[in-house]
Amino acid sequence: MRTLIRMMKIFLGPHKVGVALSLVLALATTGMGMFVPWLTKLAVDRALVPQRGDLVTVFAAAIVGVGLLRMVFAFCRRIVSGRVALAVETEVRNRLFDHLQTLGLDFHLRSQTGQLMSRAIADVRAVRMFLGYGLIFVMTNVATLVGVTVILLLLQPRLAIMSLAPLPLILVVARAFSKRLHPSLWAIQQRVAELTAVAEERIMGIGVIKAFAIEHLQAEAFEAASDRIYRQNLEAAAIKGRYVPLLGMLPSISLMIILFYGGRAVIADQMTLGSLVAFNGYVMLLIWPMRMLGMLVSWGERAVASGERVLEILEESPTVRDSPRASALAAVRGVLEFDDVSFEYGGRRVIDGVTVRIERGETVALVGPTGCGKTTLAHLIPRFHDPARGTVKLDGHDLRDITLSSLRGSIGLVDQDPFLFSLPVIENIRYGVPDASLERVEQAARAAAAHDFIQALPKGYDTTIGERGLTLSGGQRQRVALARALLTDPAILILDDATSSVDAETESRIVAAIGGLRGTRTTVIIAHRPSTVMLADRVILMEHGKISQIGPPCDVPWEEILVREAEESLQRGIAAAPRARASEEEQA
Amino acid sequence: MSRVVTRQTAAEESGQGLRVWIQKRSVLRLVRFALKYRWQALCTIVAMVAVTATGLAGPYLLRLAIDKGIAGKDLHYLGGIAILYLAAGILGAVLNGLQTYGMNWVGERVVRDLRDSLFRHLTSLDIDYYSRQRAGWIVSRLTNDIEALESLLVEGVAQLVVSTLTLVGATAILFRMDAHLAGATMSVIPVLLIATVIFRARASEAYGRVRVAVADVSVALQETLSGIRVVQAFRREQRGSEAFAAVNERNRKANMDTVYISGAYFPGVEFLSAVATAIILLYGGRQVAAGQISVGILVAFIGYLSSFFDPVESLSELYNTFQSSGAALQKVVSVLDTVPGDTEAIGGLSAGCLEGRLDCADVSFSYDRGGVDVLESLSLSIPQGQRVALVGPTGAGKTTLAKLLLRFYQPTSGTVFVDGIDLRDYDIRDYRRHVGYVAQDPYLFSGTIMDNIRLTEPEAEPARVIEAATALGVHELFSNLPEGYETQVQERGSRLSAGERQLVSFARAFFSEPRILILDEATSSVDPGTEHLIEAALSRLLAGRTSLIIAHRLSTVESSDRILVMEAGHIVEDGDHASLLAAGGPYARLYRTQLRVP
Repeated sequence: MRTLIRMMKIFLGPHKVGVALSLVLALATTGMGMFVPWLTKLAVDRALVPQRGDLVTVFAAAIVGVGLLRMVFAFCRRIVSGRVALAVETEVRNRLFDHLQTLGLDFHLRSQTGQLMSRAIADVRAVRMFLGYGLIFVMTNVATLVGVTVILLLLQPRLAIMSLAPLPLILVVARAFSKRLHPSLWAIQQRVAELTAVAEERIMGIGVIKAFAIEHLQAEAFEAASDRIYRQNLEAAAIKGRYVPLLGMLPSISLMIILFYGGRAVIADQMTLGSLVAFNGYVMLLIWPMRMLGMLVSWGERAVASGERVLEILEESPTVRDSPRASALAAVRGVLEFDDVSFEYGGRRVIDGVTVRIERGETVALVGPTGCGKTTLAHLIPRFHDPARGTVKLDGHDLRDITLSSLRGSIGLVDQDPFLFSLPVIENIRYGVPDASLERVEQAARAAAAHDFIQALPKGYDTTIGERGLTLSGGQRQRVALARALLTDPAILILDDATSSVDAETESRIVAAIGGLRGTRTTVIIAHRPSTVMLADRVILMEHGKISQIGPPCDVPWEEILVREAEESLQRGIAAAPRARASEEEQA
Repeated sequence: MSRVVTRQTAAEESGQGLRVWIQKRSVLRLVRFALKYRWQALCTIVAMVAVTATGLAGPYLLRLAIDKGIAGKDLHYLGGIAILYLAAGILGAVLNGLQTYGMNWVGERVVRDLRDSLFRHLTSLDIDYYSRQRAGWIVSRLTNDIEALESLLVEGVAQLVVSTLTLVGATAILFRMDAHLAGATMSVIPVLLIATVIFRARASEAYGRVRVAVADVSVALQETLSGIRVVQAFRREQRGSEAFAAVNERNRKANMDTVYISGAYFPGVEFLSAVATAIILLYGGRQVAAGQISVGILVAFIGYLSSFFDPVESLSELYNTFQSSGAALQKVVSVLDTVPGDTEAIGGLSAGCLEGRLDCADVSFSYDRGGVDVLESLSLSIPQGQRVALVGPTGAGKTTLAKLLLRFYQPTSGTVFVDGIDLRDYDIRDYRRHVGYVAQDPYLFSGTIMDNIRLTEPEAEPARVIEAATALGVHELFSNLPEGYETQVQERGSRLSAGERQLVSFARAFFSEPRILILDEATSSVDPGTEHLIEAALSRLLAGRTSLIIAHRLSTVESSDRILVMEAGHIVEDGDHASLLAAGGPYARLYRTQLRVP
């Protein structure tokens, strides 16, 4: 309940007038609806039973008049509450989006994209639906319940009590129904998502499936997933099959009571026929609100859960942000210093006491086995993370004292699997400098050895790539991303395995062209090919989060060290399993 | 291949969905799946008829109660009617529960069967089909289309039967009670129909726009979230926010249109029902005054009004259901009707224990009939156990040759022989079981490393997997991962490094104990330690097997028994490393420009 109130404050706050107006209109609509059975009663008692055809016209006109008013109110209510609800949805989603953009890489690494998407789309919609419509339904349904009960009690107190008695059960049953059905429906969605994942993987991996001739095994896996959906659906059907009769039965009990006891009262002249008809009409009017209210409670609970998920993101504060004393760096020279820097990720120390100074214009190659902390170290430079201990400095300033905007503006970072947007190539390259001329774009592309293949694309630089366009190869994507980074002319360039899919010769050509040649750009390269590493001024060998060797390429036997370690692991593996080795020799 | 995008355009969805239902063939296809459960379906339909009947009984019983029980002051009769009323209510409710369960039982079974046979059929289709059809399109058949058919089979059919019966039944009852009053009441029906048709058309168009707008919001969101690092690195947050707000605003506007449309329709229909009540009172009231009909009949007429309004609304909803499920059925049937290419022909010779001799006799191939030949009259003989490296520039036909040997494609002319027997004579799946294949960018399935290695035998003992990994020299690498062999590789193996993915795919091929190995070497660079492991594992994987390697690494080429140099669909050089280097031909050039730089 507290969350609900907080949600209403945060989300509905700016729309108080609209909310109040739609509430008034909703109550007016409900009120008009309650006139109709009453008019029918009057028509029966005053016109039909006394057989006065002339009076009938009056009642018919009244019904049309009330109906017209009701239509106007209902139309206005729908427009007003629709406006409010959609405004809330749009505002919340915009806020969520803006906030997600400010959250750091640590947040985005630990949250799944799909999860965030479903919060920003489905959860926001659930909040909209409930705040925009659900609350109004609650009000109008309660108003109907109270109004009808009062009218019936005035008409015939005894019959009212008898016929209304079974109805609250509808509320209870509907609530139980919704409470049981919803988890089941949710589970169906889960099963469907699982099947989709199974199907996607099988379709994309069809080459492997065919090559290994395991079609039958995959069909079995698919059928198992398919059967799980079926079973879950049947479970939901069983719940429906059980509750639907209950919900259908309860109103018939009330209507039967009205028919018999009401009929008897009419015969005994304790009540008019019109009142009996009205009773019937009013109880019919109650059935739906009763069911709705039962479900609305569960609906509300789910909306509150959705709202909590949305608020959870909105209230997450970015770990990396400008400190109050941060200032913009005017002219970046590009001197990087790591001073006893450590960093932990998931309880593991990934960087352990790294101290190193990288000079302006220097090209440094970071090498080491998979998982030694190279990428994490590189990510500390644009402050994707802050170190747990120690400081990273740029031109002598602690990174935390520099505004994020001026820091990142002076750094170009390209990684192994770069993300390109579904835009034309040219837009991708000038992503960081949207008004760059074609000439500058081509220049950057040439430096990244991308110009030739881009020109050969169907529409050259205007070819749309990515998810909704042409699929580029890994090496091509890497080169486009490189051009994108080069165009911003960064003082510091970080290539995180950024040319691994480019062939060896092109790679060394690129590195030679963009590296320290001009003598002003500081370049940090994570690479594996000796020919590329040779081009660096210094090599830093990292192992287990520490710098184990550092020096000019010819002085650091990094290749030998890594190969020797691999060889040792090979020998150990074989020594550990003599039985397996025997079988291998048998094979050969 | 790009990630699967399962987004349907509105145009794809609407279109000619309805026309499918008059095509006998497609419908028969669906009916055949349902016939398997005909008795259960029949019982469900009987229940539906009974539910409708009990639903229609209410107002009629009310009429009898008023006219005979109350007017006739007959308490016994009134009691009888009341009991009948309750009995009809209870019976209807119970039958409705049974009907709901029955419809789900039958519908979901048909859906499951359809989905399963669709998938089985898809796996039987040839590789060429998959290269022509986008993965997202195919997945959408298995998910979106099946879901559309599900909503038809589980809800649509029941809705159609019950609504039609209610409409017909109510009309019949009204005309039987009083034809004149029935005629007067029916006068609102044309207005209702016209309003509903207009509403449906408008609403379906508006909701189509909402779907597109929502999809746009998702895409915008997804791109930003996936590329958050780029967005932040290039400080594009401000522009991103503006663009997103614009997309979001379009979504709001599209939604607002639906608010206007349904804001006009639903209150309008309620007004129409008030008008109908007024007509009944006006016309019927005079008849009552004239003694032509009883008060009970008039009350019953008002009671039956909802039996008109509700079915018309739900039938109009069905229009959409039939449209979208019709389009879905058409696409599903088109897939089911696709005949697998002759590369997938099952039956034929069992491969038994293959020796692994490969011969190509005058083989030509082009991807499109009458198109450019990718391979041209290629002849080649590889003896059992030979290790062959295939080199040459991009587009020379190396991968195509590999695919012909896997029989993913069939030569346009010429023959591939394995152990001297035409490849076409083998049972294809049996043959492929003897061929190991390692792709350039190996595809791993989400699951553990263990499961990825024992892909061909999911039930194999872990000890056998470990044995295979040990024999390849990668046991220590795998067991040193955070959760060892139980490490989840995640979708496409994204949790592993490129080198680790390659080693898993080596282990996978090794585990299946192939006689022939076809390997497309990865081009991306890995650290020298992993490189060393890969080289060691490769030589163990190839030992004693006939192998064809599309080679990119110098070490691989040097250690091969034989090197084939391909250019433009021809083999231009054939020999070992030393002799080819000495010859100073294409290989020597390739060696200098591509292979030597490590």
